[in-house]
Amino acid sequence: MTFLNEIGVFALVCAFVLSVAQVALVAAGQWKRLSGIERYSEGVSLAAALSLILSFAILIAAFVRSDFSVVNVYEHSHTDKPLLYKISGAWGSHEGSMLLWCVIMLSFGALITLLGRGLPDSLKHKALGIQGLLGAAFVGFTLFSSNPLGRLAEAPLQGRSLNPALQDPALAFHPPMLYLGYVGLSVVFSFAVAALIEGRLDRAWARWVRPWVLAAWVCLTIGITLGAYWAYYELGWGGWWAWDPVENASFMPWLAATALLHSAIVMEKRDALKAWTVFLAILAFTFSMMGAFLVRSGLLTSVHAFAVDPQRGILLLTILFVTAGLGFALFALRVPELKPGGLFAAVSREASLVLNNLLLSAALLSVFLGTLYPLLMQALVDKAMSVGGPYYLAVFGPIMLAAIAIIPISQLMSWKRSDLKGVVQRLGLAFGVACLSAAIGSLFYGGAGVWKQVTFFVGLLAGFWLIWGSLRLLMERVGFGAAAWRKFTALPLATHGMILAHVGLGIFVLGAVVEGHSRISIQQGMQVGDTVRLAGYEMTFTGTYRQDGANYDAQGGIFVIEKNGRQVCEARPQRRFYPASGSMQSKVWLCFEPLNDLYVVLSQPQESVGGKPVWQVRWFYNPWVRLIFLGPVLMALGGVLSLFDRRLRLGVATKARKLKEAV
Amino acid sequence: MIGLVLTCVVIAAALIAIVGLWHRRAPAIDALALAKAQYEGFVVDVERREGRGDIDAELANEERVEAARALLKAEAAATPAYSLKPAHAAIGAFAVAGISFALYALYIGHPELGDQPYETRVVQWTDAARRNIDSLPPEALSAVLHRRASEPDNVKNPDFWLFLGKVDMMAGRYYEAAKAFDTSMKLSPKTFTGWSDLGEALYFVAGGSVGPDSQKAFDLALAQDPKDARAHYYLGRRDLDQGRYDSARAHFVTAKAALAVDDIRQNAIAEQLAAVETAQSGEAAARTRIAGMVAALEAQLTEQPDNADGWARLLRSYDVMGDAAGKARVLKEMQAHYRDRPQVAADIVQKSKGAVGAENTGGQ
Amino acid sequence: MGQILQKMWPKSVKARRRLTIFLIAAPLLVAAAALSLYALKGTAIYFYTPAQMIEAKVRTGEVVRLGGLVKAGSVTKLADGSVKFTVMDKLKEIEVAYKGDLPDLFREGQGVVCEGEVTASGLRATQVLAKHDETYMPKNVKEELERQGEWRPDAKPAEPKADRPFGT
Repeated sequence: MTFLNEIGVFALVCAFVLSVAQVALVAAGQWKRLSGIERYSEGVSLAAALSLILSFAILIAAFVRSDFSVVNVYEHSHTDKPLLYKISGAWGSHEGSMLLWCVIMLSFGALITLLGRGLPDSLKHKALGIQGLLGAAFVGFTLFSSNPLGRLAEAPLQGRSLNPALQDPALAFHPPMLYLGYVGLSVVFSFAVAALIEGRLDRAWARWVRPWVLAAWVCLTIGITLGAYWAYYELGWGGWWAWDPVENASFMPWLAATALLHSAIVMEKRDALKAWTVFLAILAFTFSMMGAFLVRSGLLTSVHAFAVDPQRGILLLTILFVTAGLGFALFALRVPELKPGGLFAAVSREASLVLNNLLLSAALLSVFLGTLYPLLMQALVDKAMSVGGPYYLAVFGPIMLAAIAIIPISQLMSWKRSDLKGVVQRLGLAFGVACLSAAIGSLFYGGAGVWKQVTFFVGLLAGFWLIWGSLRLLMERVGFGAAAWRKFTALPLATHGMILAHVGLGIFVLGAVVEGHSRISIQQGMQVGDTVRLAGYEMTFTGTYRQDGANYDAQGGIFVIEKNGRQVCEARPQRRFYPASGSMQSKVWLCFEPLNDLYVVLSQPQESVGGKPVWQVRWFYNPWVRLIFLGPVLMALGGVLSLFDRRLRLGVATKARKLKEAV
Repeated sequence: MIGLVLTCVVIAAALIAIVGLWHRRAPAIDALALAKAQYEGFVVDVERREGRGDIDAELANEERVEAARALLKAEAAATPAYSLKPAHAAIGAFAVAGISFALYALYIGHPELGDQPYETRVVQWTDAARRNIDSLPPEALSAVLHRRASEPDNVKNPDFWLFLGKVDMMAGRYYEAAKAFDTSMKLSPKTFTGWSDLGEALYFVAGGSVGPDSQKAFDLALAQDPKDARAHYYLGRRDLDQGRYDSARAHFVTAKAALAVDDIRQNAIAEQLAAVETAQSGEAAARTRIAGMVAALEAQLTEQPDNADGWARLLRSYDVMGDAAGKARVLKEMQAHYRDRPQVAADIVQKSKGAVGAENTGGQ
Repeated sequence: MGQILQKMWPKSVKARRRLTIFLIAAPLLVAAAALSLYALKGTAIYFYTPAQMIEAKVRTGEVVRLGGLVKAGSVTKLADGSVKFTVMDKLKEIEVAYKGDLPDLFREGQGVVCEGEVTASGLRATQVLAKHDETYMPKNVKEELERQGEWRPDAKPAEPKADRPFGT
């Protein structure tokens, strides 16, 4: 008999004890007699991370082997599930996802040790102490209240399977990416608190922290995009973002991280905005923890939420309040002692970034209020309500529009003191081209109503303004002519990254505006042989088919879609029956017209006259919807480029090398 | 158990070894050397930025002074790197391992519970099935049989699939059972004897109702054997649900006669027969009650015909009782009364078509 | 007055800049919060059960969410593909008209949430959500129905009437 699962539990316990030891070592080091002992927290952080990784690997093994003596496996797996979803089942539950969260948190702690050889010892060890504290809190929570390897003496005969809607490749990787982002911000938090304890906040600090912020931001961007893409093609409602509180829970840390990303640049380059940057660093991780809490609190109902008893929600809330409270209290205590940094004029890149930060904070505030208002109303006056798209369009939209408007201007400004008139002149052409592009777009996808026309034009203008404005910067730096390529390659990667990310944002805005404005759909009962028309396309229902998948049986329809008599695609949407959970799942079919999607959903067939069943078919024409997912990918790519910028990388590596030579 | 303890010891030792190795490989960096290197790097950087015009001379000077101060501070505070005594390190290591093991063994863990991977269990079930097939719970037997479904002996054997279907039924896997019966039927349509089994499985797949597919299966079962108890049983239940009590009773009586007296299935049939009686007498009582109410309402309307609500209720009552002639009569009377107010008459007709009891929930 | 202001205005350049940023930032964030709260008032969609909706005398044209149970026997499909059904709680009921695709788990006697515009005759729904798995039923619906004693937590989409197969 083997005892793999129990070894996993033991490894989890070891990780907890080691995390506590990590904190204890750092704390002991503050005591004069033991001063210096904190350096052993480095090795302990490595051991803790490895121990937890072992535990997580064993959990995955339990899922792969369908060991139903593990409660978590019994509740979220089934022997018929394909391997990928057996593995992703390991983080498909509250317990498993908490373990994943902890694994990432401790691994990042180990990365501080591994990558931080150039950091000053005292800062590094304090950061390790804080990271250990967070790790101990979350590993302890997982171990004592949500043991992912909890056991059943008598293994049930079969598992209860994973919700079929979650059996999807995009969703298999959505939580790990999101958690890399959420927890990546924990490192930033630890560094912020460590620096506050040290009382030393300078440009070097910003330089150490920036790669972490960037990496976390990239992962969050990809994670959120994967989630949106999943919602788009798996849930079958034709949309991609519903301002669901759980979606907002992941979006708020992203907004905070975006603001932090920009203020950290100012701090690194100009030694200004210190207090604000540290504040954002604490805030960003607070929002991450809030996301983790909201999803598990039982306060929200959503497909993404875990059903969890309130007691565990309260425990998580306690962790949130204690850690965030400590961070903010320390902030309030130490900020007055901070030395003010570099000066800048009212018209300068710093000032424009300050404005950007203010607008992002205002946007964050609006999302925060929209998310919490219904919860508060429910709790205080017992009035049930929901806040949906119209609110966010009315509040979040204009604020982001303003933020977007200043991006191209900000890009062209110089540090310290800039010349607004000159910048505006340089951007004149880009603005003209953007207006022209938006006007052409409006003509193409024009709609009814003056107000709609105006908002549509403004939305398009914002997107094109971002793209052309960013390209204008590239043109200035590179120019045309023979030297262009050489100059292009000589441009720092961070600049490439910035331009790419802003162009990506512009592309996303274009996609969201056009899709939101011009999406059309039709819903119709169809029999084999029927034809419907939508947006110049013609769709004929030519037949049905059956297909037996690994753990489902599908019924599908075959639809031939034509435009101007020429076949553009054959759609084969399905309705899948999963016997294990006894549930139905519609499988959308997407036809890729270059930028647009033809999106076909099949609903349940009904008996009809003449014995031929009538199938309810929903058909969406989603113009430019590809851009919505392409844009964030480019943004993330921009982030990765910046991450590989020599200047950022060398901050760590050369110092270590220099040091070795010195020692 | 011993194996578990040994593995735990090995893991704890390995984790402690990692800590030790890291600090052996990376001896404490001399804080002073680090501060010096940092100072140099910082000054170079300040000069570069000053040269590029990022900062002015004043700020550059300020930064240089600050850096120098930090260096001085580091020099003052410089102490040799702390090194744990081997004995202390050993105590720490044992403490971590001991606390972990105590927490595990006394509080969290279940050292007595071994792994139970599904593959191993299927092998055990297969062995058990070879020895005594009745000792296995149907779910386990179903798992064993599904494993063996692809074997050449079984894959084209209609009897195997028929048996598998019956096991799946007992295991509560109705959908799989229906599929297995269907496979068996397709393998040998002419000799298939499981029509009523297929019908039963489909009845459960549909959540407890006889749909067109199960109806067809039961019809074929009865064509094969007019006394098929199972088919009669489910057809009887369908009739009972739809209120055709006499037909339901006939089905149950036939099923009862087809089975041996001591068959356990007699209980289920007796239950259903009792249910038919209860439902029928209940309905009869309701009918008399409604008839009484209708008579009273009609009498009331003859006396005070100006009662739109009453007319609507009366019309609907006749609808419910399925008395078309009576309804036509009342309709005529009502229209005669409202001859000069056709709008009111139309409203009454419209209202009488509304959901039954729509006003009951609100009004009474 | 001017003198007081001058006195209060910090001397140090850095403190002055800090104050300037604060003077810009604070009103901006306050304005954002105010705008948010104002918009929340206007766009929040309230949730009602039929009895609450009748009691609250919701104005025609307002968008609300209505939660309750689909009344058995009330679902009628019309020729143009639209559906009419009645949503009820223990006390009252409201007629809902909906043109669109009903969710897979929409069943008579089951919990449902409809979002749409209040009309003279009831509700014209733009979205209908059925009790999906246990996580999909909005919590507030569940609570309200529980309060009225109407919630059947374990109601399966269609309760199998035969609990065991014949003969076992």
